[in-house]
Amino acid sequence: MRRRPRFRDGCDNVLESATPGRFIRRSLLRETVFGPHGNAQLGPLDRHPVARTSITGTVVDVSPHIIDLRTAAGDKRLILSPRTVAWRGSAVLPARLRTGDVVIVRHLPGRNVAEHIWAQIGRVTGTIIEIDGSELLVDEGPTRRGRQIVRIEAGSFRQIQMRFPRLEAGFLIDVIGTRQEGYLRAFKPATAQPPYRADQLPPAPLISGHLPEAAGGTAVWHEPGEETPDLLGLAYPALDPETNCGHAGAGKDEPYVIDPHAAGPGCVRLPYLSIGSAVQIRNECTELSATLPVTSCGAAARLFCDRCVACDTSPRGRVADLTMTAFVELGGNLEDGCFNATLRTAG
Amino acid sequence: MNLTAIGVLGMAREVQVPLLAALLLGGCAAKLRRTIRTRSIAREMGPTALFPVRLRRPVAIVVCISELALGVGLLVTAGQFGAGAPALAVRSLTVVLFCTAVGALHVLRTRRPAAGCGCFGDLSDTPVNWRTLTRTALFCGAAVATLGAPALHKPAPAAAAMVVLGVLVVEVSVLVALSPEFAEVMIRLGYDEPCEVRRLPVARSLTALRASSQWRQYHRYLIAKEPTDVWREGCWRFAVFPGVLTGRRVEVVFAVYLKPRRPQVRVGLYDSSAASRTLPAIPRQRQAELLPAPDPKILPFSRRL
Repeated sequence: MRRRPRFRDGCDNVLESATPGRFIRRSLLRETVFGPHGNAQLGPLDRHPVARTSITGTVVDVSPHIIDLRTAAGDKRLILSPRTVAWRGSAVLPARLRTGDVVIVRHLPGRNVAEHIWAQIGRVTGTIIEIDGSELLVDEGPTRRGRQIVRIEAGSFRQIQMRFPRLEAGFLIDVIGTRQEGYLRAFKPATAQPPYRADQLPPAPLISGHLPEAAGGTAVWHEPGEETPDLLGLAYPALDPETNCGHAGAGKDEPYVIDPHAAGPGCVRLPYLSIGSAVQIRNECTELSATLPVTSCGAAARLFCDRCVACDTSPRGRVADLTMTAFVELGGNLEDGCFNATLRTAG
Repeated sequence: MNLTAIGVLGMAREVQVPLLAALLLGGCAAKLRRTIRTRSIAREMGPTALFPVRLRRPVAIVVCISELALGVGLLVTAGQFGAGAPALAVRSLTVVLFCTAVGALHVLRTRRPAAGCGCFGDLSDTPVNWRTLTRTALFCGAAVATLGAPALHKPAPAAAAMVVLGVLVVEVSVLVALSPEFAEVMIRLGYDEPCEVRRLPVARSLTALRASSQWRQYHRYLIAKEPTDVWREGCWRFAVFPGVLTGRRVEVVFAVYLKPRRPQVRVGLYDSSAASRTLPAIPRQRQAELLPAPDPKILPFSRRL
């Protein structure tokens, strides 16, 4: 009889408090066997982790030239230049931002000059469960925030329907908008809708030998949820199914709820990794790259065999679901939804 | 015995019963395998995709149970046992099943041209085409031929046995030629899944680890039977055990290659107490090289203290 291993209970979760640091130490413990990561060294275009160019916080005060933020590290004042771009559902003047808005700011490296500000930005990615006019109930999957309500703005409905022609239960949706109390006010499509139903994922390609060292595709972002807002990391689409919440058991009772773990490997074959593993992600549009830790499960990304056209047409499939901060640090514009990316396992 | 054309046809009719039974049971097994692998019967493709989403699961279950029941029924009633009315009933239901399948596949091809027939689970992901339809129609014809066929019996002369064998070979060859699944099977037989995406239970890795020479060398220093952490990176699964060596708390890190048989095992040592004070002064790769002999005198971490 096969004995169930007793080394742990439940899923790997970077937020767990029982054994803090367990995942961070993995990289160090790995090095005792294989030595330092060969590919993890910073390249010439890599941003050093301490040279952060993004700040997350809440607007305390805003004037035409200055914005004051309350962040986890204390109050921060940034200068607004004529080149500063702000987004709050659409491009707005920075002075139009409101006190209390949750913002993420990209500033110029080493300077307190805001380059790009996103206010109240949110995103819902998942399977449509119900639709009632312009209001949708979307299931983001067991590894995200479960059910989300999306209200599509009247003026944006046609634009969203152009990219998501099948706003029907069972089909995928990915929209960006402003986060409101209890729902997302959708303003624009994040990508284009895959032509298949969420439960009819195309078969994965068969690859013999070893997987290629680098995988090209699209990198997207997700809202922090229970993560800290300034976390640098990514939700990885191919966590080890044996130790990282392989099957959450969703979709048994409800027909449109898809457990992404059971949907197949998706259209990009990525090596199985674990929480705490390091990967190198490169933004092919800005040529910035960084080595980031895997901080959560991004199985839902496997449902999307889509392409990103941020600067060129990317290969099909999502290779990383970055935290907002990581996405911004790598030069991505949150309102674009994605950038063309290459992912390498750092080791 | 003279083997006339009518005699050959009669023998061919008798062969259809076990052949259809094998196909039905094979189809059911392939669907079950897919269901177990994906842990969801809702993933089942084929004509079930024509039904509303809420009905797909029950329809898939009904199809699978029908195949199993008819396959078993055909086998049970193939001989003298159950000959007559029970055999006729089972064979008639088989005809109904295959005729329904022909119609369903035709509709599926029209409405969902990209969908596979799902006849043999995930082997049948190729979109429905004329080959699939012809094959199902042949099954339907074979099922009709079984109606009224006599009970199976051992062919008396060797020549008759050869005819039966010949009919089987020809029929199976035709079916193979009409089956897109055959090409899929050939690809999969020659397919070696990359170790990076190979699924192997943790228990199996730990069993392999405990059978390794590295484990025998180091297990005396361990103070726990179960690992404190297990994770995977690509082709390697790591297991960390707490241990004590020369009076110091260490962590023994085993890396087991993700291979079903006789996997390679590597070991590393991490000095927990020293790590809190300083970073190692010598490259960690060097540690691994020095590790094979667990002699405290040459342990690298002791040099760092």
